[in-house]
Amino acid sequence: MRFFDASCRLGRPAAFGEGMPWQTDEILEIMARCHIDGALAYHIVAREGETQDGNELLLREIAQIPQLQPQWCALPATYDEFLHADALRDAMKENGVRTLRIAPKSFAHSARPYAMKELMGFAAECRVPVFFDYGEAPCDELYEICHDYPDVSFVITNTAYALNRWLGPVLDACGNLYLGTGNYVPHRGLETFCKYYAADRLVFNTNLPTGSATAAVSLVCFADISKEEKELIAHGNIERLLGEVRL
Amino acid sequence: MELKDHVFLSKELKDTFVVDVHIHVGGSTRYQKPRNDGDSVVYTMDRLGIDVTCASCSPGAYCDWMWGNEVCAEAHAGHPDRIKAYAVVNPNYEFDLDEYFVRDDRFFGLKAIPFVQGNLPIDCAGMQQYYAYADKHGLPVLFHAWQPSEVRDATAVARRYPNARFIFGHSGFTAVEEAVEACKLCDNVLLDTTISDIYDGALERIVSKVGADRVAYGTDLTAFECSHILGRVLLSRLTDTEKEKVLGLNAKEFLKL
Repeated sequence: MRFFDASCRLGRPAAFGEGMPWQTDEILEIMARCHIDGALAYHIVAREGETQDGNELLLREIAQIPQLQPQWCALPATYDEFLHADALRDAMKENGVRTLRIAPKSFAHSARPYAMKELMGFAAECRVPVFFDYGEAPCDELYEICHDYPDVSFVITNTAYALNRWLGPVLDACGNLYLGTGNYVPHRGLETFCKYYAADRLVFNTNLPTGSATAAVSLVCFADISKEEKELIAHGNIERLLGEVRL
Repeated sequence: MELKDHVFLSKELKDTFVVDVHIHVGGSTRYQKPRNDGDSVVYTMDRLGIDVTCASCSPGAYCDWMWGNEVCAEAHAGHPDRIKAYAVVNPNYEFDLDEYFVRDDRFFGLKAIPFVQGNLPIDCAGMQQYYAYADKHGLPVLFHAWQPSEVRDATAVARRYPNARFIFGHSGFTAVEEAVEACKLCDNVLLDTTISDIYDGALERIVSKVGADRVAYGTDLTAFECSHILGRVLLSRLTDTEKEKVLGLNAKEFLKL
């Protein structure tokens, strides 16, 4: 089975555990070890430093690495701090960017429509999947985002094992929510998810380098679900979402 | 076939002895903990090729520890060769462990997690009765040893009670420096691999510091899944010989299984 990682991170972290594989060649080594053919990557500078500089650094970092595809971090364009919709479309098209990552809590802005209307309108029109970490919009905020923008496909990443009571009702209410599998580790969690919500809402990701590719791959490989469901999770669903992007 | 191939082939580990030294049975008010009974545990064990698990009832630790121990003992009774039961002990009570280990043969060791029982330290006065009993009878004790201070306390206990055998749950990832020191000072200490999320390379790091003989596979099943931690071992850069030690051989010897 082959895997496509829907979300990992590149770039130099301020701090890291001894032996943590944060350098790009180390990430590529782990991907190869885990049979991960390709990945969507964002840059730590775009997420933790300055968004547009980080997005540029990302393009330079992966220019010669065909396995890695760019994922840009995005802000509302208030004060012209980020690209307005038309410019964003052109830039994404020019640079082969097909997904965006938002971080409303970390970036200190509202996720409600009065603040995000232009960016989310663009994502809906161009069918650009939008990623964010669960910590950026936990609990009711997750519902609000998915509910406010029903035509945008959202993928949440960096989840955990104790979320199901929060997550289930949002999945029930919002068909546009997809779950990144990296560190989604309730006991037999993927099996339960497939039973209640179907495998086509699960997207394989690793959360590298802070997350574990070896764990993420094993979760899918050892899950008590069909081969077809595993293929959808491992690469099929993200390939479908990327194939729907119209820039 | 190398051990890593089991992951990509989705094959259970038939020819490797696997022991999970750190699991939980019983549901929880705190979060959804699906399929937490003994039968479900054994179903998962069979699917992955895990031979033996060592269980406690963590929800019981937060409230009625004796109720929790009954839940755990029931899981063991249903599968006596597959699920071993730790009795959760509580430092706020005086309790004669003969109740569990002489008049009742359902338990094989103790689980110590006093921080959820009034925020008490591992080495508090109320726990000494239990450590002394474990020392007298050579019992295994599983610590929740997450914080560096907990690992330091656990190390002091392990030195004071050399005939008991102590598993430091989590500590090889959460308090590495202290866990390494514990392994240097105490022959009766084993670290486990239990953690929900840790970067690739962390297992190799702790094995490089304490040796492959001092680390055992543990997962927190059913608090969460166990297959991802199995994969962290199988797909790590350890040799297959080292992986076999971590997966089961160390625990087999340490726990006298």
